[in-house]
Amino acid sequence: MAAAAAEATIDGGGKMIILISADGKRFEVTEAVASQSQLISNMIEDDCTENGVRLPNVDGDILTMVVDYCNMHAGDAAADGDTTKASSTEELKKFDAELVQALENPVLFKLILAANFLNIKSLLDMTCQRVADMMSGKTPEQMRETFSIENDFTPEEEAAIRQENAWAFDD
Amino acid sequence: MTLESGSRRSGRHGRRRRREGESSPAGRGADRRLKTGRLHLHLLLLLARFLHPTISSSGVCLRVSSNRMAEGKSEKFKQLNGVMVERKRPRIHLGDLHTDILNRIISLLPLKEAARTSVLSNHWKNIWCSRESLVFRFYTVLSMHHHIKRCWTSNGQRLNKELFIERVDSVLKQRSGLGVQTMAILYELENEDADHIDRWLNFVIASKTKQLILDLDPYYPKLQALKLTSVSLKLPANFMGFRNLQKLKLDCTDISDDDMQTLVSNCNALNFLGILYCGMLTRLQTSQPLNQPKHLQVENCTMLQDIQLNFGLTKLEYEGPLIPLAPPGPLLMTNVMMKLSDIDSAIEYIFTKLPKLKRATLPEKTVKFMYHLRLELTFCVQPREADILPNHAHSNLKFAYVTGFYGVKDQLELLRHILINSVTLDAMKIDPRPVVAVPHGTSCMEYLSKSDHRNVLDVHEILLEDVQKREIYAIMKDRWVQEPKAMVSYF
Repeated sequence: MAAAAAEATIDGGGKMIILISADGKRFEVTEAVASQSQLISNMIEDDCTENGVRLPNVDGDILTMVVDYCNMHAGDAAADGDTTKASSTEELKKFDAELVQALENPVLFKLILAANFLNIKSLLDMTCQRVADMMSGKTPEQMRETFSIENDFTPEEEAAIRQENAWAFDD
Repeated sequence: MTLESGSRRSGRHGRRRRREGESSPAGRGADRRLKTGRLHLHLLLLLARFLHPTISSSGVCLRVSSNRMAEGKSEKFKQLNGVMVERKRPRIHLGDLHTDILNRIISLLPLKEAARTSVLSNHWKNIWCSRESLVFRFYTVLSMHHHIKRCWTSNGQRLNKELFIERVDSVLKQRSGLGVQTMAILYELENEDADHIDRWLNFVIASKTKQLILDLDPYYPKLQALKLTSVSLKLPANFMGFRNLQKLKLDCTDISDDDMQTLVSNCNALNFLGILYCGMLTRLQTSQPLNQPKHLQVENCTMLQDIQLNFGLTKLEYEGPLIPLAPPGPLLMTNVMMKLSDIDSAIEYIFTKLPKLKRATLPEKTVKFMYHLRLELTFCVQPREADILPNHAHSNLKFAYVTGFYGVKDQLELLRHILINSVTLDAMKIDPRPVVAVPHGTSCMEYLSKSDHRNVLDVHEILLEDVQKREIYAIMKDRWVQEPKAMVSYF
C-alpha cells in the first residue's frame, strides 16, 4: 500500500513520496518538495524511498511544520530567478517570520534538530537566526533565564572568565 | 601579491565616517577598500599559495574552495547520533543542541555578544571560540560608549588602536582550531602596525581561513594601486569604486565580465590596467567614456573574445590569440606590443589589422600611429615557401625590434618587407634572443643588408651567457657565440 502510494503521481508531474514521522504520521509530498531536504534528496537519488521514508527522529507535529515549510518553498530552488515567483517573495517572508516567531523554545529547538537532521539549509538558517535574535542584546543573566541555562561556575571561575573576556562586557 | 597604497590622509576631521553598523563580513562594498601601509609581501605571497585559488575582493578577500560534500557527509552521521540521544530527554533545552548547531547560532551574533556567552556555563565557555566568522572593527571590539569619545584626539586614537590590537590578539588566542570562514579586520592601521597584521595573517594561514578581508582605511578610500593574484574577485552590489586607484593589475583572478566592467567603469583615476590569465573574462569594456586608462596590458586571457577600447590608450600590450580590437574612440597608440599565439595570425595582424585600425577609426586625420614595432619571433615553424607579402607602406614606423630571430625564410621575408616598406624607419634591431634554434649562417644577414637602403639594421650578437644554460649551446657553432662583453640593452 505504501509502495503503491509512493509510486503515485499528481498533475504537473513529480513522483510522490511518503514521509513517516516518529509517531507514525504519514505525509505525502512530491519529490520536488521533499528534495529540499538534502537527506531525502540523496535517498531519492539512491532509489530508497519506495516504501516511504521513516524519520524516527522527527515527531509528527514537527514534521507537519517542516512539510508546510517545504510546500511553501517548493519551486524556490527550481524557479530561481523566475519573475513569476517574485510576487510571492513577500508572502514567503511573512510565512517564515510567522512560522518561527510563534514557536515555544522547545518546539523551536526540535525544529532546528529536524532541519539539521533532514539537512534543509534554509530552514536551519532561519531557525538558528531566530535563536540568535533571541540571544542578541541580552545580558548573560537574561540569556540564562531565557534558555534555562544553569550557571555551574563557582563565583571565582566566573570572575576569571569575565576577566579574560572583559572587553566583551564594556558597553 | 603586491599591495601599494597612497599617502596617508592628513586630516580626518570633516570627513563623514561610514556607518559602522552596516555590512556583513563577507564584505559589502565599502569594506572592500584596501588601504595598507606596507604589508609584508612575502607573507601575502605565502598566503596566496597556501590558500589556493580564489581570493576575493579588492579588500583582499581570500576564499578557498572546500569539499562540501565530504563535510556534509560526516556531519550527517554526527547529527544522526546527536538526535537519537536527544529523544530520550523529556524537555529539550538550547544547550542540548549539538555543538555544531550552537556554533552556527553563535556565529550569527556579533563578536562581542558571542564572547559574552562564555560566562553562561561550563558547557558554553568555549563554544564561542569556534565561531566561523571573526569580524574585527570598531564597534565589534571597542565600546561605543567609552572609546568613541577618544576618536577626536590623536592620543585617544592611539589608545583605541592599541586596545583594538590587544583585543584582536586576545580573541585569536582563544579561537581554537580550524573552521574560520571569514576573518575581517576593518580598522585604520598604518605602516607601524605591519607586525600585527603579519601576525594576524599567520593566524589566517594556520587556521586555514577561507575568506580574509583587510580594510585598513575603512573611512576613506585612498588606494592608488592594487595587484591581486590568484583570487576570486566579486564586487559587492553597492561597489562605489576606488576614486584614487591609478594602477590595477589582476593576475590569475576569477572575475566576471560584468564585475570587470563595473570595476573599470567606477575607477575614474585608472591609468594602468593589467589583466593576466583571467580565464573567466570573455569581453573587456567600460561603460564610462570618461575613464581613460592610458596603458592596457592583456596577457593570456584565453576566453577573451573582445576588447572594447572606449578609452584613449597610448600603450597596449597584448598576448594571446588574435581577437578583434574595436576602438570606438580616438586611438592614439604610440606603443603597441602584440604577442599573438601563432605566427600566421601575428603576420596577418601586422599586415591587415593595424593599418585597418588606423583607417577605420580615423579616416580623416593624419595620425602618428605606430612608432615602435617589436617582433618576438619565438615560433618554431617548419620552413616553407614564403608567401609573397603585399606591398604596404608603414609610413610612421620608426623603430623595429625583433627577437627570437634565427633566420628562417619567413622571418627574413617579413623583415625584408618591413625594411623596404617603412619609409621613416630609423632603426631595426635584430636580437636572436631568446635563442630557440640554431641561427642560420651569415648569408641571411647579407640577404637583409641588400634591402637595408636606409642603413638601419643592427644585429645583436649572442653572448655566451645567453645560451650556456640551454641545450642548444651544445649544438651551436662556436662562431655564433661571443665571449662576454659590455651588454647592450634595448628598451
